[in-house]
Amino acid sequence: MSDGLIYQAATYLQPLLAQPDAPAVADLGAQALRAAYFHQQHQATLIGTQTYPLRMRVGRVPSFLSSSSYQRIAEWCSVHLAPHHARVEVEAWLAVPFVVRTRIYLRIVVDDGVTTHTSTATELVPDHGDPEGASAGRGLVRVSNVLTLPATNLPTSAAQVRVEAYAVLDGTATAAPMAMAAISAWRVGP
Amino acid sequence: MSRQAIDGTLSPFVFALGQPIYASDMADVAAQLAYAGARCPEHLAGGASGAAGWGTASSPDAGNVTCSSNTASTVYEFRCWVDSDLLAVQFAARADVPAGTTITVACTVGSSTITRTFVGATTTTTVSSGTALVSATGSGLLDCSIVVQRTAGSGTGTLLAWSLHGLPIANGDLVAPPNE
Repeated sequence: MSDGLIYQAATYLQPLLAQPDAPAVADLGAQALRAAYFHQQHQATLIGTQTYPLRMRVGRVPSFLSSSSYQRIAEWCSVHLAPHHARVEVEAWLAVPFVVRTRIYLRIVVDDGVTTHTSTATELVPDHGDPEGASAGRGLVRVSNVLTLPATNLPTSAAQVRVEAYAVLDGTATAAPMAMAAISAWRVGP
Repeated sequence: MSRQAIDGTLSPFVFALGQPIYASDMADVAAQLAYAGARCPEHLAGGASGAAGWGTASSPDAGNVTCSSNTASTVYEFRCWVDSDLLAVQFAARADVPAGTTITVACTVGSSTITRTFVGATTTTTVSSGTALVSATGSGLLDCSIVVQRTAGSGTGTLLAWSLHGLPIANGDLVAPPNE
């Protein structure tokens, strides 16, 4: 069944339900059930998108984050999380010079007011001299991460969702330059 | 008349081919939909806005929205869709204000304004939030703005992060559509 038909089913069910003695048919029931599942499985509601001001002018270097610990690059305060929100997904677009191998570490932090939950991810940006097929030469890098939410402490309307990152020259402990472009986060259902 | 919302369990076998369907089954489905829908308020707008180091040391510049004027200054203007199904919206903010200085951060949504006051020295990790009813803000595509103003002292306050989002709707407040 297409999404459109499912929506249609959810729409025309309402007047019928207003009459307790109205006859129901199996097909209508099946459509209602599918509509319920569709509704719960597509709870990908945007927490927000943060775009950084364009500060990469000519002759100006991007930001240097710490080379060893996560620094906050985005935040959304007082986020509502329901029990059926199964995970938080984040996608960040970062600009890095591609003349050196850069390893980016990205972390999602969700503080539900009682417990702090974290999930980390790593992305290696090869330099332009790497062999063919190594995805070399990227200046704008997409890094994504998923945090699975535990059912404990939910629901809450006061959760804090943070995105933290740091970047190093690969194989070293030297901070790599990078500039934040845009960062988005979603709440996703089961 | 409010619509029923139930945090229930729907078995897929109830609606298997050949199974009888009762009116209560349909009501269960509708109540389950209403429960999930009422607890998925939208996040309308938000972001970080601090100077370098706003999160932890060496966090990058995220907008550098400071407040050092006793005159109200508009720092953000945007439009956002406030659905008529929402009952209330919440504005939350975090600010860094030095001792002896007080700033206000006022978020106007349509016809209503939510004002938060930060008295220095603030605890920068603390989030301050306030709500406005959609019956007061109005609904649809609304003009919104965020205004900062220093109301006491001579220091410079910084708005670190802010969010504007809908609030979940409690079961008893879930209004039925006009055709029910």
